[in-house]
Amino acid sequence: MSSDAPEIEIPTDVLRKWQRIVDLLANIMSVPSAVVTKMEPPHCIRYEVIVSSKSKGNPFPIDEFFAMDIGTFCETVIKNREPLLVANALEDNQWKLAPEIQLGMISYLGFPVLWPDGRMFGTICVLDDKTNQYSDLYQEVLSHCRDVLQADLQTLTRLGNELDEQVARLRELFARVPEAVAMVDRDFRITRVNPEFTKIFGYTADEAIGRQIKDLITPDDLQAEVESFMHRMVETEDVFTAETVRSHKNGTRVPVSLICVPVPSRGSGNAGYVIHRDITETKRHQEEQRRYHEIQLQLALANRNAAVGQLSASIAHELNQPLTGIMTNCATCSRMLTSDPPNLEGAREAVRRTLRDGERAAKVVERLRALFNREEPAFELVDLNEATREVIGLSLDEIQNGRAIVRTEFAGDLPCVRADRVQLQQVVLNLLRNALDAMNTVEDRPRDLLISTRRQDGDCVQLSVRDSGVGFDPRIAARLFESFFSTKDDGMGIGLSVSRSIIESHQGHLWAVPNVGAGATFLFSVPYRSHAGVQ
Amino acid sequence: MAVRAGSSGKHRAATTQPLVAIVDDDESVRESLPDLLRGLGFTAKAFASAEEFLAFQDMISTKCLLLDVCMPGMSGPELQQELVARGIRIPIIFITAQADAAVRERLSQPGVKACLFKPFSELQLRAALDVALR
Repeated sequence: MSSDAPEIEIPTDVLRKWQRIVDLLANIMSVPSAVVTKMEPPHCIRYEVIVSSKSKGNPFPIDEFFAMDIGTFCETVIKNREPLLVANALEDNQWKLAPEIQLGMISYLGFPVLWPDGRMFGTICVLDDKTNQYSDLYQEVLSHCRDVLQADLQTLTRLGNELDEQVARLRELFARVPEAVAMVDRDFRITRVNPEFTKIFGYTADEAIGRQIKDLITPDDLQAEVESFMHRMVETEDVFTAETVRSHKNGTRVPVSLICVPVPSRGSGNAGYVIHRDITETKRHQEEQRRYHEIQLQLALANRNAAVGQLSASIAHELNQPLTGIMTNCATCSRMLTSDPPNLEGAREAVRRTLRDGERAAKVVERLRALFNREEPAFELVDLNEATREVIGLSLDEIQNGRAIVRTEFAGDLPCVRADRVQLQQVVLNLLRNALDAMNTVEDRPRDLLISTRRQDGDCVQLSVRDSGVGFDPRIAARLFESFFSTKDDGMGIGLSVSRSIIESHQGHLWAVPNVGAGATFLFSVPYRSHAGVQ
Repeated sequence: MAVRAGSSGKHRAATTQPLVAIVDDDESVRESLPDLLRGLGFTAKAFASAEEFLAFQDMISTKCLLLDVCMPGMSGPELQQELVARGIRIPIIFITAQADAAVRERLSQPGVKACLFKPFSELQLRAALDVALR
């Protein structure tokens, strides 16, 4: 019958309310004792006083237990599931031996209190040390108080069910979430792990629980990092994320993205959850993407270099032919004019041929210009930071050979620009090479190179290359970007002019400023909301 | 016989002036070089292709051959090989518009006396002829 009472704890705020009820009951009815009892789960072989009126002469302290086989009034109410009124036990043969008599309580009015599902909760009752008939009004009051208790139990049950449901949902989430979740205590020991944890790191729950995250799955070189994460979890309440590496039971390194969720400690001793997402695939994808870009860039630069080489060879060939004619004709002409007598007719003929060859050379240049203007840029969304990193990566040998130290300061919030990726990289490469060339002869100071990006007002992104090289005379700043202008002995004078034309085709600007100290800074800015190329 | 390039042609009878042949597909060169060579005291004859030169009746009397490297049809080096094969030994000065050390290397063959990179000066031409006709 009452073999399995639900295991719901009565919260203290409810107990306080019930205390008020029994105190009022004792006061109104002028009795020494008003009590609420509760069957003790799980076996229900005894019941307990859980609320007892603070009234004079009340013999029932809270937490007192009564066995279910000693014949108390409450025992009878519980067993019969019916109210009971005993006006004077001493005058009633059935109740002469009731244990309450020993405590001086000779009259009793009690009602059974039920859980919403009909199972027995316990009783609410009043007791008196003298004969008491408990008028109908008193009975109604007590019955009403019983209803209040039962309504509270209903609420508690509903909340309990909801809580159970939530716990079950959380448990399911914990079990099925495709991330490795480890709960850690304030000593950073693992207190719980989910199945995915075993899948990602190879340790079963038994192997993991009780171990420290730093000992179990953290590589030796990342001990300091994990320590700082753990302390941050204890010290703050903010969720934070990180990307790092953890180790599998078999020793392999697992790239992970971490979410650390501190849980405010309320006695449970848990510091929070550490959620690990295996990002091996993502990393591999990123790496592939990076390699693809690198190869693409290498090919493009190789093609371009080859094209430039080929082009300059054919330009040389095409121009050398008429130049040969011009030089030869001039030599002939000079001879004819200085011979005795001067061969004027021959000289005139030589000059005519010189002019013709000159025109021919001019035509070559004209054809060349048409050729250069033909190339159409291919626009895409480009992360300038990433593109620059690739250029630096490809130039490591040159940087090392130039004994330069390259630092980067990349803006974290740099928007992508619509641009021809390889063309922009060509510009960055040109600026990088120029900077290295400018520092080539520097011996009395470090060959520092700073490449930085930043977001600029007016929806532009800016890249600057700052060197500590020989710098330039501000008076020639404007000429730096002219074709065939070079301050270098072996310079062609096309790098900067090509770079400027590329940047201008992106609706941007390329300029240079001398540094306050040594060296120069070359900068370009391009708009990131540009619709360049969409015409 | 040592011919001093640069020694004025007017001291020499026309018949004794050595024949310098020019083989080049470029018209500017074919038109300008003979005049200069005549000024330097040579007899000059220009050919637009290797094949044309091979068909030249008086080929044997050529004292020096100014030979372009890149030509449609038979190239300069091929003509040089052909002459070696025929046992005809004419001192050769290659002239090329492709300025490249590797080209000079490749053209160092028996009978090749010099290599001129276009454009070349009168001085360079005279020095090369000097070597070729020594």
